[in-house]
Amino acid sequence: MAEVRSEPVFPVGFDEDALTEDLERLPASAENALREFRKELRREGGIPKSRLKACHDEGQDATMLGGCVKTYVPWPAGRFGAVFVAVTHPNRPMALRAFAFGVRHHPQESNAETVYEVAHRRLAHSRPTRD
Amino acid sequence: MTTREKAHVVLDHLPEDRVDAALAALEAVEGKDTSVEAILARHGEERLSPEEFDRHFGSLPTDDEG
Repeated sequence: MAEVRSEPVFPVGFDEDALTEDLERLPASAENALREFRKELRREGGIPKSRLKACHDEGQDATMLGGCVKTYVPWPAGRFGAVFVAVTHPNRPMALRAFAFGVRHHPQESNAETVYEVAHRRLAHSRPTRD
Repeated sequence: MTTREKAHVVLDHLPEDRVDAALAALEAVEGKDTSVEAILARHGEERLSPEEFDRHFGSLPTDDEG
């Protein structure tokens, strides 16, 4: 008997180049957390809507991630996070493309980027109004 | 015309079957572009329209970060 889903589950794709760049500056625990997260996604066929939160148009941290969604890794209160854009493809169903993975919060004295700052930078570099 | 503008023109006029090779050559020189625009281009994707986004995700909760 087919499993009945009680909520939408969105397929998730990663960009290996972005992930490689992210993992280079993260502790080994991030790689483990990401591996487990990807296993979960494969098992579930994607990410359930209840594990998503909307990003802010203008966040308290000065990031501007309107139109993006995020999740915590591991769910529900992990140290890491992933940020996604919703995408269409000519031959595939609507999906989420993960474009940043990293630490949600750093100590105040840290200069390291949070996952939201990385996401902001990658999104801002895509905007034609830049410069 | 700047060099960058010229590069865009050259890429725009390349036949489809040569775009991948041209991109690979550029990436070899510059490293991988991890902007969202480049990521989506690599995967042949486009962002959902704001209307479609709202239809699927408009009701999501927010938090006090990002």
